[in-house]
Amino acid sequence: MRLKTNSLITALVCFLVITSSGYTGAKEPNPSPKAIFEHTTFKFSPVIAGTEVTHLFRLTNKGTAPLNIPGVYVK
Amino acid sequence: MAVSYSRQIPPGGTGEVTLKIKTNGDAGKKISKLATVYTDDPNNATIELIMTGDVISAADVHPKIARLIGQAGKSIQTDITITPPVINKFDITGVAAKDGTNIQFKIEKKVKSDPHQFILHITNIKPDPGRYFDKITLKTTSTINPEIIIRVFGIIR
Repeated sequence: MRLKTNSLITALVCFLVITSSGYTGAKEPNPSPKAIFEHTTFKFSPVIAGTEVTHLFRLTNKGTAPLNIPGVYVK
Repeated sequence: MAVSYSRQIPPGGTGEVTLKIKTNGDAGKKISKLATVYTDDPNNATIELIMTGDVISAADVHPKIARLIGQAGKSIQTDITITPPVINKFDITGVAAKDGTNIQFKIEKKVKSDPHQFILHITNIKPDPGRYFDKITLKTTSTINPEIIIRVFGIIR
């Protein structure tokens, strides 16, 4: 009976440890990147045909993991 | 449209996406260019960047082609008005015809307008019936359009 209680307590402790560790794991967010552009639209003042218009869109990674840009698609 | 961008940005770091658009042949259009940025941000897998604006011609030439149509022996002449846009003011420093045997021409500057307008007066000097083609080149002080070419068609009956 004593042995049974001990094993029961051990099982309970084990269960608590596993679930609590699992719980804390779920609570801490996984490191992830967060892309924030300063602006996404740029309106340029009139230009003469034939001139090139260049604009730099700046972005910040406000996340906790490196942000990757695998590609930029243009038509 | 050309594009360059940062491949990877560390946490807290900044990066950039640079778009470069060409405007050849877009005179008179309002252009809008779209670029789609793909990221591994789970909440922003795609981000759209837009560049928009007006494209105007280096000079307004009206009419575009000089036509000298009429009867031999009579006065045949036409005027072409050249208007520089405010963002591309220029002077005309030279006028020359490729052939020049059938036409006379002179440039007049309208100093009262701002930017200065120019009027190219072209007169037929071919005395007999026939057709001809010529080209007048205007040299300008603009680096964007150092030359303006005006085609001339003559139809003398």
